[in-house]
Order: sequence, then C-alpha cells, then structure tokens
Amino acid sequence: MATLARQLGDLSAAEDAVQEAFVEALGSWPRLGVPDRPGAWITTTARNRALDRLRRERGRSDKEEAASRVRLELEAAARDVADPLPLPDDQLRLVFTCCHPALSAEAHVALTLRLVCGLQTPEIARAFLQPVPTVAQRLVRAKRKIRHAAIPIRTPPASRLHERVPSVLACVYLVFSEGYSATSGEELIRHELCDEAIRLARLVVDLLPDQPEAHALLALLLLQDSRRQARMSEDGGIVLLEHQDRLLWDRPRIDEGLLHLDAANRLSRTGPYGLQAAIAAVHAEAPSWEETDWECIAALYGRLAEATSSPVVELNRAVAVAHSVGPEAGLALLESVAADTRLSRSHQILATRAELLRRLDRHADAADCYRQAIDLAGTEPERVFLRRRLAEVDPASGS
Amino acid sequence: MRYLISLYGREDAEAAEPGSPEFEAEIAGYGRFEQNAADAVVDGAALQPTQTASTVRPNADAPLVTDGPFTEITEVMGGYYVLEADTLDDAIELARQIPAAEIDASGHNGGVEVRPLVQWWTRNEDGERPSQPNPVGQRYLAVIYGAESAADLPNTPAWEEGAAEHGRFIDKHGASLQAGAALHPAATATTVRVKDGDLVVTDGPFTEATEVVGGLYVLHTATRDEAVAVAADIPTNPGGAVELRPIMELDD
Repeated sequence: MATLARQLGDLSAAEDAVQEAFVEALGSWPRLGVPDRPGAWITTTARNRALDRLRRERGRSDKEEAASRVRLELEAAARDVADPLPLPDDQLRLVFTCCHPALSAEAHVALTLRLVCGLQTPEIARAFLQPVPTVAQRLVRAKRKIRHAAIPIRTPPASRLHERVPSVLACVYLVFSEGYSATSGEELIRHELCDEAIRLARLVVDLLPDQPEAHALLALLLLQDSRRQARMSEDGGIVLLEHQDRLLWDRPRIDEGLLHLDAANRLSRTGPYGLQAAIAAVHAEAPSWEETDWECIAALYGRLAEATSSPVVELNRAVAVAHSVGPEAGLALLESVAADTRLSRSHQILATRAELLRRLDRHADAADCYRQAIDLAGTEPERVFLRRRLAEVDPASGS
Repeated sequence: MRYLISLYGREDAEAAEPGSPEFEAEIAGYGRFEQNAADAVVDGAALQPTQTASTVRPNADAPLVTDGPFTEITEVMGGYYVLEADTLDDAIELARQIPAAEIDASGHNGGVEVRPLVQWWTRNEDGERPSQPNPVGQRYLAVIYGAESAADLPNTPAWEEGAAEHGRFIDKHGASLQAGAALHPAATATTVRVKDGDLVVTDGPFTEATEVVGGLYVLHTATRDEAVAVAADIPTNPGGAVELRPIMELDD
C-alpha cells in the first residue's frame, strides 16, 4: 500500500483501493480458490481499482495525461512486485481454523462450507439432511461464539492439528458430496467443488501422511470423481452407473485412488472412509455392471452401517442387496430406511423404491413413487430423468 | 478478554480428607495453577458443598426460599475463577491446568466451563481482588439461573433494560456486594476436561439444561437472612431463581 500511496500521492485513495481489492478477494477467492500469489493479486487489483477511481474523479481531459503517467509508473512498479515466499494453502488453513474444538462438529462443516466454499444456507442444509432454519441458526451461533469467546482466527499449532483431522475430513467430504450431486440449480455436478475438495484432501494427506483416513478419503474422492465424464449425457441428463460408458472413466484417477486406499489399509484398520473407498474400488475394478461383485458391496455396506448410523448407507445397502439377492429383498430393506425421518425430505428413497417396483413390473405403484420423487427432486437433470422413467411406466402421463 | 471459569465435580465421590496426601496434592495443584497463571487470575473462590445451598425464587408476595441447590445434579459447581486472556485458546490453556478439569480413574468426573464475560464488576474501583473480608459475616456466591431470553443477548435494547435493572439493584445493595458477572449467552461457553493428560474440549456449557447460569454476584453479609434478602432482589428472567452458595474461605 505504501508503494501505491507514493505513486498516487494520496494515502486515502491507496487505502481505498487496497480495501476494495480485499473485498473483491473475499468475494471471489472462496469460489475460485486462492490465487498462487495473493500478494501480487491484491496489488494488481488495487492498482486497477485506483486507476478506475482516478478516471472517475479526474474526468477525461488533460487529466488523462496525468492518469496515463501514473499508470506507467504503476505498471513499472507492478513488475517489481514479487511474493517471495510461497504461501501455504490459505484455504486449508481456514478449514482447520473453522474446525476449532470449541465449536460443535456441525458448526465446523457449516462454517467451512460457508466461508471456504461459499455455499449458501439451503445448499448446506441439504447436505445435512436438515431444515434450513436449523442450519441458519447454527451458523449464527457459531459466528457469535467465535466473536464473543474470542476464538482466534489462525492456524492451530502443530500439536493440535491431528486433533482436528476428523472434522476437517468430514468437511472436505461434504464439500465433495455437494459438488458431486448438487442440491439445486440447473447443474447436477459442480466441478469446481469436486476439484476443490480433492485439492484439499491432497493437502491434508501431504500435511499428515500418517493419517489412514486422510488417505482413505482422498482415495474415495478420486475413485468417485473418476466417473465424472461418464455421469452426464450430452443433453445434460444423468447417466446411471448402470449405463455409464466405462471407457470414459478416468483410469489414472482410479489408479491413484487405489494407491491411496492401499496406503490407508497398510496404516491401520479400515475406517468409514476406507469402507466407502473400498466400495468405490469394487465398482472401479468391475469390467461391467453385470460383472460387479454385488455381494461384496452389500457386505461392505453392512460393515459401514455398523460403523455409522447414516440412513443413506442403509439406502445404498438396500440397492446393493436388490442386485445381489433381488428387488423384493431390496424393497424390504427400504421399508426400514423409509422410517428414518432424516430422509423424509430426500427424493432418493422414493426414486429407489420406484426403481425396484419398476423392476418387479408393479407399474402403478412405481408411477406413484416417481411422481412424489419428481416433486422433491432438487435439480433439473434429476427431474428430467425421473419424468422419463415415469413416462416408461405410465405412458399416459404428460411431459 | 475475561472469562468465567466454573469448576465442576462430584460431591458424592470420596472426598480427600484434609491433611491426606491426596488433599495436599490437590491443594498443591491449585497452587501451581495460580502461580503459572499469575496475573491472569482476576478473582476466584471455592464454594461450600451444595447441602449448604439455598435457592431463592421470586414470588408475588415474598420470595420462596428452599434448602438445597437449584437442581439436583451429580456434577455440581465447586468453585470459580475469573481469568484474563487474549483469546479463547489462551483461556483454555490456563483452564486445563485447574485440577478440577481432570477426569481421573476413580470416576471423579471433573470438568471446567469457560465462558466469556461481558463484564466483571467489582466494588473496589481499582479492580483488586477483594481482600479477605472482616471475620464478621459470610461471603456467598449468588448464581442466577433461568431460561435464556432476548435480554441475554448483549448490545440489544432488552439487554440494556436488564442492565439498568441490575444497576438499580447494585445501587440499592451496594454495601453487601463485592463483585458481579455479566455473561455472554450459554452457547458461547466451552467445556474443558483433561483425561490422562489429554485435553478434551467440547462446545457448550458443562450442564445440558434449559435453565442456565445467566450471571452471578459475590455477596458479603452479616447473616444468612440478609443474604437471602439481597438475593431476592436480584433481577431474574421469568421462572428463574438464585442459588446461594456460601463461599469456603481457604486462607487461615
């Protein structure tokens, strides 16, 4: 700022310019990621802002000459601006800060999604399977606690880092989940969130290579992300795993994922992320849908269900059992899942039940479920897919 | 930044006999803490067991006074400190050294609650730790319990009204008051435990209850009846009450 002030001859203008640059950074960095050399970015942005201001204030006359002179000087100075120290990843630092132990676990994730990834409250609420007001309240409470309790905004010391890893991993996982299957809007997949999550997961592994679940999470994200190209059809519709062109799967990503899964298993007993990664690995290594080892997957989901109490896990297990044993068995498992109120706002149970009913040729029942699912579905590609299925079981329904 | 540290523990556990090695070790632990913390300790006191407590509930005609603590819970407040620290992390680092924070093998489920203070008011203008009171009379900690309301959010009109009420209370009973604490809402509290040397930090106050601590005063009165009379005037939220705990004077 001193440089700018000297060149602009106006301390307050320089201050304003830098301030505006920071405001812009706070707005865009969460979405776009912290640039490689934030210092240089700030200076360049501040310079541009200052020039804008100059132009506005001095008008276009002989002052233009003064402005262009200033510009030349600033440009010369910009070439000299260097950011000698490569900054450690600011976003990862912010994530660890959001995961302060004095905040609740839910607050960790809500804050990270908000401050680091720029998600809005409804998107965060869907990831938690909770109502929007609950999440809004949680964010208010967390920010209030940070302010009033004077929780420091800085990276914790090395000795405290490992205490925060489980929370950080949970955050990163939810960021990926939101990107992999978006809650709202026109797009189902938000690539930048998936990329962000993978980048953060890599950094955690670099930072803490002895943490098995860090490797397992990275493995899981890589394996799931490897299917990215195959998941969307050209018209923006969903392609189910069943119908995906496996040639479009990113094999190098799969290989890297398997390496990290291996590392995780060598480090320790398999944890929840390890189990999920193992399931993804079974899919990744299967040459086709028909040749997938569904029994293995069902068994892995069973183990996962013991480790976590997530209704989504039980839902996936029902799907796996439907494949390994039969749709009737899957439907039976679905009944117990449906009783879990946390999923009552999710269209996925209804869509799954509809699928299984369709496979049993119970078309009328399937049509009912599809209709309900369409009402609850969050994104257009999902609705398009469900309407198509509805049309298959009930040709009389309109588009 | 000032924090109220509330010390919790079980009274039904076998208390260390005064003079026993365990007792001496615990006293030494507090001595070490206070020495390490030094200037960070603004105030503090130990409380007598809850069987000596009284609960004062406002009532239309006359306050209802009952023997015993506000609620029957296993882990009760045994003392408090007021600490000065730059950040919550620093306050936690101090709080973890307090012997009451330890969970030990014999099931003494300890823990301390760290809660930011809006204000720590003392009658001594220079804020000195209140000197040992004259031997006549007794000091009490008056703990205000109640469900939180809008008035518990600092910097709101409702808060200002409440502050004015407390101001009137202090004006009326100033001679009997040594200190008072205005607290940030219970959600800003953090619970600190130490298990086998490892720090365990959890979000929220020590006890999960609708009725939380909203504030407190340190009283000094000649008789218990006077203390009850003062406590009956403390402003409380509707449905709230004041728990009077005699302070255990440790200096000989």
